[in-house]
Amino acid sequence: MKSSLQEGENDGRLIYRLLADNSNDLISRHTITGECSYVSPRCFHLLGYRPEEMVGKMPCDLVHPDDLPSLKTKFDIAHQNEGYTTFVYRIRRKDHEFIWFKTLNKVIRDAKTHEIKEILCVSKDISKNKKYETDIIESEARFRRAFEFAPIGMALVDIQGRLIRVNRSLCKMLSANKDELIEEMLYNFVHPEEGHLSFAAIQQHIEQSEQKHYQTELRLLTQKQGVVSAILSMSLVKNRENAPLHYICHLQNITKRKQTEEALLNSERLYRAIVQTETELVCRFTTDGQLTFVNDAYCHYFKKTCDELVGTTLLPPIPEEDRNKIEKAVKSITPENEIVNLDFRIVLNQEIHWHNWSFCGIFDQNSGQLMSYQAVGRDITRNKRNEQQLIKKTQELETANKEMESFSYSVSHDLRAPLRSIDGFSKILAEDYAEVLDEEGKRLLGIISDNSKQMAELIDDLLAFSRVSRKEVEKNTFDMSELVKEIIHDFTRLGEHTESQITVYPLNHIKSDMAMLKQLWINLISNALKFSKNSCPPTIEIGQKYINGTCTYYIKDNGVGFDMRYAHKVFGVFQRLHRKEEFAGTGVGLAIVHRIVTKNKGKIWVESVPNEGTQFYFTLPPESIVKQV
Amino acid sequence: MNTGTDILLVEDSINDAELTIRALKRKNVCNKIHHVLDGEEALDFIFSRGAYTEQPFPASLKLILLDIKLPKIDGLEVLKVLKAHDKTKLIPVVMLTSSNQEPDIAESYKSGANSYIVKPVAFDKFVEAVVDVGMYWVIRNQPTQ
Repeated sequence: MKSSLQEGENDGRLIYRLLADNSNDLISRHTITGECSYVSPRCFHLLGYRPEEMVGKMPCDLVHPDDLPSLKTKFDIAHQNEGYTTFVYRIRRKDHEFIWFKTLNKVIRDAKTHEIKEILCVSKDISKNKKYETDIIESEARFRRAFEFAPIGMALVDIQGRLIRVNRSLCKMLSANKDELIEEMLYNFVHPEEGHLSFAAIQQHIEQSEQKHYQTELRLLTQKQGVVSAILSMSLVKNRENAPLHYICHLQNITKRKQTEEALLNSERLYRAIVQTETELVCRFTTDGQLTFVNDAYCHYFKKTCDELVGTTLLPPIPEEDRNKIEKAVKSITPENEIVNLDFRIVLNQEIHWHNWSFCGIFDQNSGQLMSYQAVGRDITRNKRNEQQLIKKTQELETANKEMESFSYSVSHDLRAPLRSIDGFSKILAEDYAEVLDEEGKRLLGIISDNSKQMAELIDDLLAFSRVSRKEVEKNTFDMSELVKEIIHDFTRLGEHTESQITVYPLNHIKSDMAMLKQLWINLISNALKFSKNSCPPTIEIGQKYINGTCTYYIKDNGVGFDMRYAHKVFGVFQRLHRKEEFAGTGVGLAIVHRIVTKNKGKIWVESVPNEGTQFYFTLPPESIVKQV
Repeated sequence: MNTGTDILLVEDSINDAELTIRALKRKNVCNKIHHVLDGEEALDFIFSRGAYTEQPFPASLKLILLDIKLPKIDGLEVLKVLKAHDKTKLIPVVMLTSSNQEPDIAESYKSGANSYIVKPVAFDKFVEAVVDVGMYWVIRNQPTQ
């Protein structure tokens, strides 16, 4: 009975041994210290060791050092309980490579003493599974990074349309931070005018599409950047049970592209509008002379429709001489000199019309080869006529000027001579017949003499005035301070006006007609000296200041001044505001000043207070200033 | 008749001529003045032509006072002829004229005028100018022999 029991036991062991020896897993038995007492042949396949190499060894020696501490802890706990324990750890193969092992561990105890008899282990190579696991973790991380740093806006949106996750680009696009966006409805950021595209509508689109995907262009409204144009694409993600999980949403900012597109469209529209509404005649033609484009004005001018013209080489009748001129000019067009402009004649309705055309060669940007010509032209018959009239008028004017000159000459020569005689002979009369003439006779002779002198002055001034009017402006650069100082020196050189206190503040260096400016300052200064001669002391100030941004030159005196009611008369010819007995002069000096300023494209005005003084201001064009002070 | 003439006055205005001669005589500048009324007569006088055929060349001439605006041949033409002629080119010619036109002045100097005087309108100044010119060219100036 006992032997049959032993036999039965032996049979059982044999069966187990058979199972263990042929198992795909590594089956091992260990003593309480962990030493291997049996290792199944699979060991060779999994670890590279033959079973007999392993028997008597401690498997702990092969465990990856990093996994050892946790393995030992778990092992100690396993010893306390009865059931199975699982360990996952790395173990070193004979070829030093680590593989992942999952070991099922069972502690076998003595039925009576309950002491641990041995430990049974079943180990599996789970390296492959482990690799999948790491791959998944890594791919998840990659996805996260791709999501986070994508150059376009990305979000996960839940089924209700709330933002669950957003990336940086989206935050930037919506000018908000993550916390502000999470849990917000995506639709709160869509421009109100895009109301027709509700979230429900988008959901429907996605549902209906085969790819469960929808893409559209829309406008977003953001607080900081205002309207943002974007392309939205949304895809539905479902779980394993095919239930909707969330949407993956892409938002690409196309504001700049939109703007560029719009600008391009506008410029195209503008260009078309210009060309079509242009009153100038515009056409394009090939190098063979075939028209490829004509604008409305061109059609209208030649009384033909666009269809009649495009494709033809029709040329209006041009005199041969002019035709040759055009051909020569057009042939001279090169990429360096791509535009030629010329006048020629066209015969229309038996009338000669003058035209002015600009021909422009259009060259291929890469090859530099001539592609076609574009031409813009207009009928200048009227201008030509005006031009001829202008030439005629100019000639007439020149003749008139010559006559005027010869008149001035006569005035200067012929009117002076009799005056000299009047003066001379009245003097001789006074000298040679002094004894015969009584006091009244002498007084009357004096009046004759005074008047002849006065008339001479009038003639001289009038001539000076007409000379200024005729003279052409010549530009030279000079220091106006120096000019004024020289003039003052000339005035005071002969011991005159010594009582006058004259101050000259620095004046600009200017480019203007020096001779005219000299005359101007002479007249203004002599005017100031004259009218301030009775002031104590006569004071004159010359300088410049900026009035409304324009450099304004001034001369100020403390003379008799005048009533501003008569200011408009100051610059008139032969206009005087004071009696001759008080202040000498013909009333031409300031008329000359006015003429000089006008000829030099400046302005002049005056301010005056009776018995306090007068201040003349004048400007010159800003470009006349060479050096400012 | 022209022997001993110091100044030839070419002046179409009888009044101006009278005033000029009177001034020169009164101030004792010169008594030997011959007056002609136009350019043609001036050239006739100098080159012994026309009415002056019988007269020899006026070798004593020290100064010619020449107006510009003259009948027949004007002052500038007379000047050009005189300055182009070997016999006369060294005689000082002073333009004494009413014209203060720049082209006239420039043209005169270009043609070899020795001076250019604008006749002052005021009689006193006129006398002063004529006397100054006479004093300088007739009395002060040392001509070539």
